[in-house]
Amino acid sequence: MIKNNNQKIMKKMIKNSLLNHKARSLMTIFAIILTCIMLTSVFTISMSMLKSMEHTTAMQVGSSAHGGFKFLTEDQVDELKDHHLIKSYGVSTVIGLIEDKRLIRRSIEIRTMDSNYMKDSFVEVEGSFPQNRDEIILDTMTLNLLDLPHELNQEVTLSMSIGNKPVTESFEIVGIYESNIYSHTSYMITSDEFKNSFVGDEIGPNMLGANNLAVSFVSKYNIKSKLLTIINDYGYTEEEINSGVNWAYVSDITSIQPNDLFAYVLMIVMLMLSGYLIIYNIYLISINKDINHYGLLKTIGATQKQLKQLIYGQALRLYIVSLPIGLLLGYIIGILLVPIILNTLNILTVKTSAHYSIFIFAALLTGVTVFISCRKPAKIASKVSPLEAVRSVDTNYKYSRKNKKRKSGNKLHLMAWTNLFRVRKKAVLVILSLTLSLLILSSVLISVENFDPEEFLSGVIGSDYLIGNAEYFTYRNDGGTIPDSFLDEISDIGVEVHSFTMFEHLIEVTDELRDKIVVNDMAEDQSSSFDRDYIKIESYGIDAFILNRLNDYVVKGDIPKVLKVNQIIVDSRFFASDGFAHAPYEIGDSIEFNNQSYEIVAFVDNIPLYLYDQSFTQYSIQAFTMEESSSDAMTLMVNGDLEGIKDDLLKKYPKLVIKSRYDYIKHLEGYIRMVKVVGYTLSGILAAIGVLNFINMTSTSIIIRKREFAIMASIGMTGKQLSKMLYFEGLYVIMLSLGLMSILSIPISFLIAGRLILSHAMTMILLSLCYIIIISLIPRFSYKIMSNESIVERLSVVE
Amino acid sequence: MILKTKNLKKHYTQSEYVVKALDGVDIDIKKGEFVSIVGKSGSGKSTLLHMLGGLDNQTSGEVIIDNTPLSQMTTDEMAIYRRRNIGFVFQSYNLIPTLNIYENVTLPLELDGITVDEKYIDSVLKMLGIEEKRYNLPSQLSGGQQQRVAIARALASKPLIILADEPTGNLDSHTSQEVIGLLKLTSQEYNQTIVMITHNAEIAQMADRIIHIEDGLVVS
Repeated sequence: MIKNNNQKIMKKMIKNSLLNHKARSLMTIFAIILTCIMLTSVFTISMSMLKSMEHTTAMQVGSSAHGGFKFLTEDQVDELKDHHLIKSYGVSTVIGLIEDKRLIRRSIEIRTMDSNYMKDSFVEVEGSFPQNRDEIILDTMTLNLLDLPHELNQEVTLSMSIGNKPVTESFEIVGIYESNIYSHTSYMITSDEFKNSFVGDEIGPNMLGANNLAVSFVSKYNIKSKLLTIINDYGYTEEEINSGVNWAYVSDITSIQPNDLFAYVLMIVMLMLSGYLIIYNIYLISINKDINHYGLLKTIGATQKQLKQLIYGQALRLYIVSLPIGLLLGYIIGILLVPIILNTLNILTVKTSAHYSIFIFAALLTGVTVFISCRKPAKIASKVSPLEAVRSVDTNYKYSRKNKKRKSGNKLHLMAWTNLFRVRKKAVLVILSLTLSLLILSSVLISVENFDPEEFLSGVIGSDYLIGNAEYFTYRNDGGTIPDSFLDEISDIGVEVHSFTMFEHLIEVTDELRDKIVVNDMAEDQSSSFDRDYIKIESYGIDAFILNRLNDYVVKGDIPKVLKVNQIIVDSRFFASDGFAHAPYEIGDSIEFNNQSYEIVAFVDNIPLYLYDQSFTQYSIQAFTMEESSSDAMTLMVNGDLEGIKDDLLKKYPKLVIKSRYDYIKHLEGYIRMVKVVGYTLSGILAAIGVLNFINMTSTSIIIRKREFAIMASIGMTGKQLSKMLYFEGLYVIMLSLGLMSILSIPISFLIAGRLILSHAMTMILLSLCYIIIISLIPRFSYKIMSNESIVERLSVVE
Repeated sequence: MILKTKNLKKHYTQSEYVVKALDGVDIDIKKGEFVSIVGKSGSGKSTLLHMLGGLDNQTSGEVIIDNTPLSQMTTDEMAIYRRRNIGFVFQSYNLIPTLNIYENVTLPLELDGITVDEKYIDSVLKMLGIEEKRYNLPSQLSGGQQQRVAIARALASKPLIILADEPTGNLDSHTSQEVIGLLKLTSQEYNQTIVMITHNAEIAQMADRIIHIEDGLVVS
């Protein structure tokens, strides 16, 4: 077969077609951009979420390196670090621990670190690196505990344990880094000179001189096997070299729940579907309209393949034009939404991702959407028979229903009604897409309306003020208490103070209890070997006010009005070997600790954060007993007004944090605003799709009915009357959508709020007015364009 | 004179050529006259009919109906004038598919906001033999029946003039004879003027007078 070169003419025809149908091209571009925006933002959000979760875990682990080797000699470090698999590495040498009375609440390791290791360990030093023997870097938390300002070049004297010898020396602080609040450990980073004065060739007692080698690879997959390869390549065994994978990279795509994955895929498909509907509609209608043109092309010898190429070629060009805009806008919307979504998921560190796969996938799926959208239209165009094409201009609008025994169907508003449902599928589609956008907006308004800040706050703060040690509110609770002087000070003001005290005790594990723990424990393989003799109980001493608060969270049993000294309320959550299990007790059981026996009267669950200490430790029970004394309180709940003296108190007691209901309300307002922004954005995009579909439907139906309108004009219909009829058509669409929305809003309101909420009706009415204005403008505009041709030209479309 | 043209010209510009569809046409048609216009395709006869009905604008000259020059009217005024004074019958019937026969016939009256003279409409439908079909949709009628509906619609507003553009073009010869017979009958009944374009010499012969058009000019 001879290959003929027709690419040039194809290109020219594609270009002409795009330029001759500017409105259609623009609308397609708009639809592609919308699809691309939605996909890109979803991918940006999900990738950023993964990254943030990874980062949060890495912060908790204390390192962002992929993995590492521990307990190495210096020679081993030199050997391993040059392996070809390793992309980057950092080295740190353990010297000892701080053992200082002032720093008893925090574990502080004395180490040297190279800059890579610091970077991996989230140590961002302000100041310089230690050079001389007496120069060190400390973190902000340690400085706080030492009561030192965050300033460089101050002297500090510390007691340490190095090897197995106590050492006390004075240092100069040359660098400070911000503490990693997720980690339990701080570092005192010293100079090599300091290290060399203690460390010999061998590793000494208590890890003196043990080297850690943190390594990162090109990718975060298969870290375990890479570490093992390195060990084996240098002739060591797993037992000889201690290696570990960073937890942050343990979870990968395989650990995602099938349900979540399904929901995710469903969402992507829905987004693609909404884009598909618009693009498909545009192409299908335009092809119906141009069917004569395609028939003509066929008559003069265009092949099916060429006709398909003509349509795909147009789509491809529009896709290329739209893509960069869609990707950019989608990415911007994505990174704006990430903090809001992470906030609701309780992920604290926000990391936005700009991974190339976001853009590749978004571009790919948008392309797939565009391709699928014009597949059927392309097929129709390519299969068109030249003869049929010449005749069938308005095949799509042929009307054949049952006879109608009526006489007034020729009134304008009734003609409009019949016209609307001539192509039933399309009318339903437009009405549904408008309804959907209105419904989502309505749901957003309902949920914002229904949001009761007081109810929400009761889960966060149970009184006007919540006062505690700064660290009480972090993962790391060091058990610090509130100074008695502070208690005295606020008692003097005359506010109502309720203290919350924690005592830790051990409970002996009897055989009976051991069996229950085994049964309750979720991790089967480990539970069988439960071999502890004691479990821990964290008993909170509470007063009648807090007791009353607990009432809302009872899951079993009853809380008496007055809790007797020998009664106890237990949190049904029990942190077993691998997650939460049910506490191994029943109502009426007695727990013995601190030389006293307590009878369990009730179980509580899902208690708000201010009612327990968040530092879960394995095999510990949380319980509440009566305690009238306020000394050694961990937190205070205060009812009354502290606004006036709050700042003074904080200055005087810098380690305390005062959280007020007022601050929370302010914070919540911001949160509600965010919910609104997200909701409005979403409804905005859907509204755009709805309006786009509407424009599409009306303008194409006007174009297709061009001849019919010419007939009406020839028998005396004025332009005004025609516009009126078209206006009625639009009005019916919006009325039907509004009606459907109103009906569906009722069950949705009950679903979201449990009651009927009508307070947003005014907003919805205003919005509907906007819609009605748009809707009355579109047909007029389309008609104007059309009426540039004379009636004869329009009439002769067929003849 | 009910219908008159004065040196009527219609020129189109097609790419670089000027097509002279009508090049100075003068005709006079009396009230109640049945005139057929014949000519080859491209001779300008359809253009003339469209100009007579105010569907297209002339390049120069004038169309005067009942002493009213059409060129002075706006599009909407023309539409209103048309629905009151002119009835159109087209080759392809041009019925509105969503409306039943009765509604199609009375549409011009409805558009004008006139109360329908039921008796008159009934008599027209009866005369045209389509009174049984009044609640049918156009798609359920044969070509001949649809053309009768179109004629009924043209008659509905009791117009002065009926303009028919090849009304029998899509019909077989027997039906054609019948339809033109009916057209003639009704026009005599209501004293209307008919201007009809046709290719068919036999049909043309049914008229009172025949106007020949060639290259945009009246030749006889």
